[in-house]
Amino acid sequence: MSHGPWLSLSAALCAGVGALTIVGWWSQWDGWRRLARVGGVLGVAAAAALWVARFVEVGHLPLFGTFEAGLSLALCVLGVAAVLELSFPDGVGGMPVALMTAAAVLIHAGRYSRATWALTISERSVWAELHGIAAWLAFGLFASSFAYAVRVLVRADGGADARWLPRLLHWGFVLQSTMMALGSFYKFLLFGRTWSFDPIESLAVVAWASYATIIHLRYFAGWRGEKLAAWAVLGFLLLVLSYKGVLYFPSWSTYHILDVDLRLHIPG
Amino acid sequence: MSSPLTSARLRARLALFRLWRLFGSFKLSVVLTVLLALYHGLLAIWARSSPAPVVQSIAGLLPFWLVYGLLLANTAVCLWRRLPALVRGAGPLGTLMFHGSFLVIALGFAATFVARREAGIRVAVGEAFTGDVEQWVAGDRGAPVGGTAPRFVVEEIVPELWDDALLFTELRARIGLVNAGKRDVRINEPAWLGLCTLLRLTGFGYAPRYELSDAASGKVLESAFVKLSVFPPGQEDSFSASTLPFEVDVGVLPDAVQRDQGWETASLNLRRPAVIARVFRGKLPLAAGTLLEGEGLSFEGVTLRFPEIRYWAELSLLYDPGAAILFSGYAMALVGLLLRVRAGGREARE
Repeated sequence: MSHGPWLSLSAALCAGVGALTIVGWWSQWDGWRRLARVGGVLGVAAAAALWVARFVEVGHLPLFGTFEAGLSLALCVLGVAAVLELSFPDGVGGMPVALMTAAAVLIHAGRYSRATWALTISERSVWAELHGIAAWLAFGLFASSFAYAVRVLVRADGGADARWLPRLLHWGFVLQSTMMALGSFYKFLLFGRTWSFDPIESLAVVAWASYATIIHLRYFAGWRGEKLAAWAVLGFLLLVLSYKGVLYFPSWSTYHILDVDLRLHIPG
Repeated sequence: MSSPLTSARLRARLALFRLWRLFGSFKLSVVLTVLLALYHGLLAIWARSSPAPVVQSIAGLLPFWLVYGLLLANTAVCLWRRLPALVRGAGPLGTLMFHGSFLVIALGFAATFVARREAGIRVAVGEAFTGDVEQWVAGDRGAPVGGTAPRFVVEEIVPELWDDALLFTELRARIGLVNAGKRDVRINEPAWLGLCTLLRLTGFGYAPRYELSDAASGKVLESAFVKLSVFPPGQEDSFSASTLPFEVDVGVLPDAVQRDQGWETASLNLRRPAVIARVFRGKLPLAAGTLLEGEGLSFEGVTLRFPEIRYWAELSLLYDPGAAILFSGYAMALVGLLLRVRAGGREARE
């Protein structure tokens, strides 16, 4: 199956509805929230369809390689935002930014090879899958914290829903920690070492320590509102760097480039 | 008026008190956590241009140890100072477990650093590992724990490659452990021989059996398996005959086909193996040829054959007493975080 047109369509849908709702939200149009909910549901449906199609095509969870990871990330970003949006009547209000984030993730994924490869031995493990699932869920939660933080910063209405940002940061931190612990455990099974200062590990520590600092400052220095939101935005940028930055490293420097063509230097 | 001695004691106690307060402060925690992030950011940047051993050396420099040491001291003092408050309820207990886990994790890393040992073993299919010097990978000779190495037989090695590309989709070795039954060992599924000891599969290769026989009478003069590093095809290795003065350079074509340009391999699977052999005495070339199973190459009154090729496995016997401690630390941290976040959620709702 060719994912190209569907991927472009899904990215365009997310970006279009996201941009419309941001404009509506900015101009205080009453219907922005309803549009965001409808757009969110459509975005989740599109991302889920792409994800399932890839799952059927390759016969394993779409977690390996930048293209597959992008599909999983977009689904998690939109899924977490949609659950929050639909579960709480007042809502978190982060769907417009979540839609834009998902669009960016899909566009980035579309730049990488969609060729299907069999999983290598090191990718065939339930531990690797759990590690990946924890990573993408953490990303989804932190993306929602980012979306909410942007809302707080732009509209300066952090006071009304101040409880959301710390909760999203906390749950994201739990899953990020879980992801790192599972990664270290699986690395031990695979290489006989729990840590080796691979760039993916160092970048994960950077993001983890940044969120740990933000959470400490929330608890002990009473950071809230715009101050907390601004640092949550910075934390998310570091998280994106930790997830995607490793792609810009030479393949010899890390074991975590999962795109076979990049790893084997196959010209595109 | 106080005596000079009392005054010095007071000053010392005051200094200690200030140090205690400094180490128990959250501001120090924040500074150290930010430093940790910066240091690891630097390590990541370094890894773009330097190989892993260089990055690992940099990570072992004093400033890194200083930050880790200070972070641990800061965590320990904070926990001690807030201990009475930390045992009241699930949330504080979670905080205690999460931060306490740093000490357990540090202990795990320290135990690994001090006591981790690893040694490589090469055994062919059907061969019993007896701990013989020849079976250890050079430089790794001897059981890593100082005790007795396990005894086992490699019964089977199954490699699977995807579409004949150099992508392993399976590499499994079935080993029969003396008094401990059979185990399947994969690259990512080691066999645990104890809480701290495991047997890992780290590689594989071809082990052809060579046979040197008298060209006139056909009597076998010498025969043995040789574990060679000739995978993937194109790679060459060599061996020396043990009683005759010959050296043989060897390459293996696992699925040999003869084309116009010469011999090639059609796939990476061991279907119709052929051995590319060049025989020397000293530096003098004696004979060369591509030998299918049963075919011979004659020189100086002897004939060289390769009647069979088996796989060999490279296994690694690892002793790491820190890993179990480290994983306990991870589990403690995650349970602590869950308790903390659940309690935090309830507090927020209240």
